[in-house]
Amino acid sequence: MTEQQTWEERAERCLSLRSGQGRPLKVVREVYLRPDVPCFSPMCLAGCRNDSDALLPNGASHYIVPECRIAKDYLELFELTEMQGVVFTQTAAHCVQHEGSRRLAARLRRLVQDPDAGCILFCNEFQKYAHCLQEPQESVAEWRLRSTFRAAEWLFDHLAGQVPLVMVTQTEEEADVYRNQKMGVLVVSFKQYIAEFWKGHAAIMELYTSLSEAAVAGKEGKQFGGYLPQAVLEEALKSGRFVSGRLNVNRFNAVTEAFVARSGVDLTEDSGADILIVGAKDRNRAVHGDEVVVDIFPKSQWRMRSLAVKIEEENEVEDNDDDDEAEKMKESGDKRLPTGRVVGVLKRQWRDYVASLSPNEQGNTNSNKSGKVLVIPWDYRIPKIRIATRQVSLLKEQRCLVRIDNWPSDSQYPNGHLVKALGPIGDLETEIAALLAENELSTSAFTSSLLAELPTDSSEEPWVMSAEEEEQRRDLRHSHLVFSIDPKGCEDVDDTLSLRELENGNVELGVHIADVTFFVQPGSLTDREAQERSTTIYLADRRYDMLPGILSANLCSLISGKDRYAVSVMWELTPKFEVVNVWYGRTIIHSKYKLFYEMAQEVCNGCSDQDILDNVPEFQGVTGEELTQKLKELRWSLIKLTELGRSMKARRTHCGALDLESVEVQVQLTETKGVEDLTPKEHLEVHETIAECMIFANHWVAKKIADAFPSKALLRNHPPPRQEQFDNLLKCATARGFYVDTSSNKALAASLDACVDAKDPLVNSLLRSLATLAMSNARYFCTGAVHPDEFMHYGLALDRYTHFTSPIRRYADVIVHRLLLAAVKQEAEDSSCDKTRAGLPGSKRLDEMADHMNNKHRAAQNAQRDSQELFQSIFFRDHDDDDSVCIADAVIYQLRANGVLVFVPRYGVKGVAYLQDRNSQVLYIPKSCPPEWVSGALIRGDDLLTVDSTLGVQKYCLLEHITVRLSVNLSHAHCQSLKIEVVAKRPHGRGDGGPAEVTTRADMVKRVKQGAEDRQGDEMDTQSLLDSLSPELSQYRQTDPQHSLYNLFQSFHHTGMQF
Amino acid sequence: MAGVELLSDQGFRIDGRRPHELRKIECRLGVFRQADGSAYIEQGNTKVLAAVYGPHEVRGGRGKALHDKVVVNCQYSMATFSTGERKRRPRGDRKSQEMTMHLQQTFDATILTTLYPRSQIDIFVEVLQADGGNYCASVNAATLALIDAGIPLKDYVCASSAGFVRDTALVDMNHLEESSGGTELIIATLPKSQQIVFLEMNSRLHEDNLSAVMDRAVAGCTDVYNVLDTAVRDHVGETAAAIGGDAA
Repeated sequence: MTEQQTWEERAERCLSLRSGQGRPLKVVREVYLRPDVPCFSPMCLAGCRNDSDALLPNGASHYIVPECRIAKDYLELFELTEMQGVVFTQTAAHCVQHEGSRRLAARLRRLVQDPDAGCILFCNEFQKYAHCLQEPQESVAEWRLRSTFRAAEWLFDHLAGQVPLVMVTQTEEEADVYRNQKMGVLVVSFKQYIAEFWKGHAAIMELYTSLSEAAVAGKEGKQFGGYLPQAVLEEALKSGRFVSGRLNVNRFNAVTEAFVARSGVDLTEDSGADILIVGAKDRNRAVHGDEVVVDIFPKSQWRMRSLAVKIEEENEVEDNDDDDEAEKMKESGDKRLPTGRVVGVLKRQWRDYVASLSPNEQGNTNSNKSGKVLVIPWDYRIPKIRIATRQVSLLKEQRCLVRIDNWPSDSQYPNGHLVKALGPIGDLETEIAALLAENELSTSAFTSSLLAELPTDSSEEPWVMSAEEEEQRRDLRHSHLVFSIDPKGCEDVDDTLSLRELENGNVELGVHIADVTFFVQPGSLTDREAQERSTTIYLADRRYDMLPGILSANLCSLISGKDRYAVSVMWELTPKFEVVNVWYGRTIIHSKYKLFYEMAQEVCNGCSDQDILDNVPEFQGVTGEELTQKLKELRWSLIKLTELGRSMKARRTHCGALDLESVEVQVQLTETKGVEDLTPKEHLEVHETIAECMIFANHWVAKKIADAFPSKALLRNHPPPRQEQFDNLLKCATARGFYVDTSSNKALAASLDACVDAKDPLVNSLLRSLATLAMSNARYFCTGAVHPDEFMHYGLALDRYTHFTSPIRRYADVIVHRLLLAAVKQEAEDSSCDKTRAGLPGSKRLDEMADHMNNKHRAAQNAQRDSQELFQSIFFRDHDDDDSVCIADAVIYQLRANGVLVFVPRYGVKGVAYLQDRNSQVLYIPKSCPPEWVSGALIRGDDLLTVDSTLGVQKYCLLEHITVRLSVNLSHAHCQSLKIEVVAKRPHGRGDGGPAEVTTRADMVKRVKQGAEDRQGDEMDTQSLLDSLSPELSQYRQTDPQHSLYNLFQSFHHTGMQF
Repeated sequence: MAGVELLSDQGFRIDGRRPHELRKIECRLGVFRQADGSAYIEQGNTKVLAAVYGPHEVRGGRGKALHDKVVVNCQYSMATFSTGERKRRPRGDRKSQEMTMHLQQTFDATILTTLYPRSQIDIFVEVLQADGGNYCASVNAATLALIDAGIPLKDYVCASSAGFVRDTALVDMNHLEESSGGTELIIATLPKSQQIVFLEMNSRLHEDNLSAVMDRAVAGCTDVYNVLDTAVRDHVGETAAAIGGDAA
């Protein structure tokens, strides 16, 4: 024989199991018995091979042998270090594994492996003399008890009676059966054991009582209550007993906190506030986004929302958390919210979730290639999902798409299944796919049948205009100077401009938009696909087109030097830019120049001819007189356009348009898709000019189609924001002594303009971005579905607005084009006959389309933002913590119970900086030393957060500048978020203030110029305008005292250098 | 039920064996009078009966006869009652067919086929109770039956299986271990010459671990050989004694 076979006897065990289909199944299993099962006692005289670290303690007064159910219910008690010398029998371990949870079994395993715990597992069922088989008439519980006793008996004999053994049972009766059978083996009930042996230990006694209560409570069955029947729900909803709404889980506190936004209630009413739902039990299996029915508790049970920003951690033990959280909630805050519980679900909004395997599942997959595993969704708001899979090992380190199937009431987690694996975690393509899937955007390639519909344009078969079309359209190819201004490298040019002086001294402005509707017929495959996509998705490093490339980058795109079809709006304006006349219609244009923003700005600022020649390829090959002529033309157009833009802006501002701001960051990629740098997008005046022209065009088209089709035009409105959204803005403003009037858009715009701190240019832009946050979303709507009073666009201060200028990348514009052309045709034929409306959607259909487009737009925007964040995190991941890139200046804009929300202007990042960690230690920053976590408390005042630590007291107030370090929270299951740590309590690198001030000066120059325009353009209300301008004017005239001091020192410095 | 632990921290398998230990083997030769050779083997709870007929003339179509060697005809079947759930198993289902082929290949390579051209040997194997390692038990039983029939073999053919759990190779897997979805390597060897007659592996295994698993399986075969050899010698001793007794 090669190796010794050491079993000596073979026994058989009969088990009654249930088969996969639930039929009873009798199974016979063999057991091989041996005398050499290790006893793990250092007192062993028989020479057992006790080759393990975890042994029984040497000098124990007795060994405890817990019975099966004791081991299961009171495992936590045995985990205490005071409890030494515990012998778990194999019988008990099996019971824990089969009747307890997997987590419990893992805990038991860890316990018996821990060298310090003094607990062992004795394999009594393999020991020849200690095992006993279940008798035919014996119940499982009886057999377990006997088996445990037999093990205790054997162990006592094995150790030759050196140590007494105590076997603990659940009840007195069980103990009575074996009480006096063997000298030295004491059998007592657990209650009695604790009472007699651990009399003095309060901690153990206490834990015992709480565990025994939990054990009784645990038997009460289901995790969740059932839902009420549909009929009852409907009845109660009608009578107002219950309310319904959409469930919103708090992202930062997903386990315990959720809100239900009531649907169909007047929001201004006080009772219409969101309903708070605390804890998983009250949420009752509803998932974020579901339409739920809520039963509101009586007022006495209402709770506060928690103010702390929860520190996210991946492997939370969720079961025990609830109570502490609830406690915390009771303490903090002052405003109680209506609180309730979910009693039914009207409509599930389950979609496909991106998820990945939880890390502790990954640990034990060696032995376990199939079966059920828990996956953690990417979205914090979604609970873990249990899926059955045979590919556990394949899913390791992968992101996958998971769908929820059901959530039975006796299960802690919902059940789902795997849809597909997306790829390895951390891979750029995977992460992009994940964020697209999370936003429910599909980006499949265009089908071949769709592409077959489209015209071709190749060198063999160039696309040509048909003579028929040429006849019908107004030809602007030779009469107008048409040009486009777009970002650098833009392929889908959908808007061009033209400007010329008419003989009567008036000016003619033309906005020419790509004629997509000519190529995309209503109902064609391309049309349906474009409608489904609704928008082109721009991610930080790529884009997903709405229309196939042949249209978006070629035939529709208004490239310079090519004849293209367009839809034009042309205004005749007086020299003071009053509209005299407007014309809409189809045209043919020939764009002369394709400029980019920076270049156009240079031209306006008056750069040299040579610069223009170098940067505009269209001038290649043009020389002499012709060149000077052309340059002059272009210059005139651009400068005049800028003037026009200013005037239009001033007019809108006068009506109350808001100038909102958000710092956008541009990701600069290296060739290998690494991130080179994050730079804030430069904002030029020409951007504004172009935007003004587009707004102007959109506005006029909106007017036209709303008049022509009062009940089925597609417009875009921007509802006024809810006043409570401004709370934070007002707080911040008051902290610096400013007052912001939010009563109307005009008042808001004026008061925002007044909020300028000469020393801190960031204050204004931060306040503006806070105002942006308070805004509600603009949305498309069908004029038939909304009251005309609500057509108003709050942000732009226009009574009618729509989207007309980007049909290549927005489907709404395609619809608007069709409406406009139909309106023009209707006018020309002077009839309201149905012929002209062929192919236009009806009011109801349009309403649905508007909803769809709103959803898609939001999704696309979120995806874009997510991709920005993704690249941000890649950028900071690639840089070391100590890299100067990662240290930046930040402004506090909100105070929370355990930290502050800060804004980092350099990267346009907003986030939480914690001042208190999970162990309630607070951050104290000594002078010129790294910050330290010390014990202390945080006290939160109205506009002041005080860190009261053992080392000293520090205060944080709103709009204070601090220095922070940015790094990446490496997260496995979720997107990698940025971690912001406070490094110093002073602004970062004052030297960096230089460029910021320069830009503000440029800004001021611009604003003053604008101010001049205002005065010139508007006859009335000049006084109020002057009021709003006065601070800037005074500052412009007066040198900033700090600035001049700086100059003074600088000159000293220079003098010093010279000597 | 939470997932079962195939190998405990203390190194015990689910049925109390250590990784290198075989299940209990019990066998008898000459259990039928009617057949030319027969044997019954128990490996733990896997119980197999084998009967050998021949060499005899080729039955059913002359065309099947080979001019230079014997035709080895195998038939593997499982009793309806052999598994936990009673299930009718028609003869010739895919699983049995595959097993039949495997047995045929194994014994084609072991029997000295050239001694009996134009004739046929039938090997019938019936699994009475299945608890893992059906192929191994079938091969071992058939070997004993062939020896009982007095058919010349190159050597005993002994088969054993091995699996790989928690970085340890487990020999002679039982049904529970087999059905957990891990690797299983089945091997049949000629123990004296240490030649491999048959090898099959299910599921994936890292290359680095292959030799460990194979060594364990081959060691298992050797252990099986020792048991079978003892049984054969005892049987021959008994028979000889019986014959000797008659002669005396």
